Amino acid sequence: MVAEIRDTAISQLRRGVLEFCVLALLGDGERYSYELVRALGDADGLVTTEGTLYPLLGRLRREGVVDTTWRESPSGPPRRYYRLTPDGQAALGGFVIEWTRFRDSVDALLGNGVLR
Amino acid sequence: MTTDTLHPLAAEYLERLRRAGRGLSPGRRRELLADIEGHLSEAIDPGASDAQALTVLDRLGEPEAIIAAETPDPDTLPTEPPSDLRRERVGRGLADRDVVPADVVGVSALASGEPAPRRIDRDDRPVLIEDRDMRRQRVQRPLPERFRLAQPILDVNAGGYLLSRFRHECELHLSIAAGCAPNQRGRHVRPAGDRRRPRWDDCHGQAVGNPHVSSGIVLMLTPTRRSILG
Repeated sequence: MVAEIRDTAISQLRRGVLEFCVLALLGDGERYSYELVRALGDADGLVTTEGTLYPLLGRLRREGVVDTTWRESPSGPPRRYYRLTPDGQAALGGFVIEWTRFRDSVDALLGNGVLR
Repeated sequence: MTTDTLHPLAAEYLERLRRAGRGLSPGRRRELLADIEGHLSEAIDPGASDAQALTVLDRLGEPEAIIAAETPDPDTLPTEPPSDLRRERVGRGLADRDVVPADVVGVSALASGEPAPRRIDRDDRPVLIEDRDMRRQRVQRPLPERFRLAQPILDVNAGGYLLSRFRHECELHLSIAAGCAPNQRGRHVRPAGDRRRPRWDDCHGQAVGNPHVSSGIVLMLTPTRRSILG
């Protein structure tokens, strides 16, 4: 029961931050989809299955926080490149502020509270 | 690009994805298949061993899971009523009339947590009864021709239940509730007249994944079949 509650909480937390991790990866410039997915997949504890990131990328496109262009690849099929839109940059900026507050508060509670 | 250039296991995986995605819109299915096909082409050399290919496919996950992430089927969403705790959360949202758009003519009793009928249409006629057991909800009197049911959704499972309960009878409209981030206020995720199958994921991500959404989602239901009109 305790494990179930914990897993649900972690899953919700992960789902909540994942789209902003995508936006953050695009903060330094455009990336193609496979690059994005592998970067997120390699981050410890962030993604359980890489394939489910593609629906997320599709949703971010529909929401207008990223836009995409297809370009030829030096080898293999064309690649879909993602970049932040102004709305995406604003969303990321807002999230960074809120996340920092959230993280600091949780860290402080975990560090000084009953859980230690 | 054709699947001829893919590793046989990758081609087989893509075919499973194609079959699993038959419920998607043609455009979205095409996009998703192109994305996954690109991934497979990048990650698996056609001459790779089966073991190498399986490692990549394992990381990718089951095709059915990808489709589920794309558009959770209401049939797979919870059909049980929300727990008391969840109902309480939803009910709290309902009591906050600020989250109900002004043009909504009725407010569901679904989330009230009250056993007694509630008057919910424009003329204050009792229309729906909500038992403590939401499964026994029923129509008490004919619904007005153009009736809308508004449901502030603060809980994904409650929303999933409502969609699964009403999807055969109602035209569903999802919109972001007032009280959200200003640029999202009143935005309709599904425009009126859009008769596509309900897509809970449209608002799921907004409600759960977006910290800028503070008040949740309003689900408006417009009955489209006389059979439920009492």
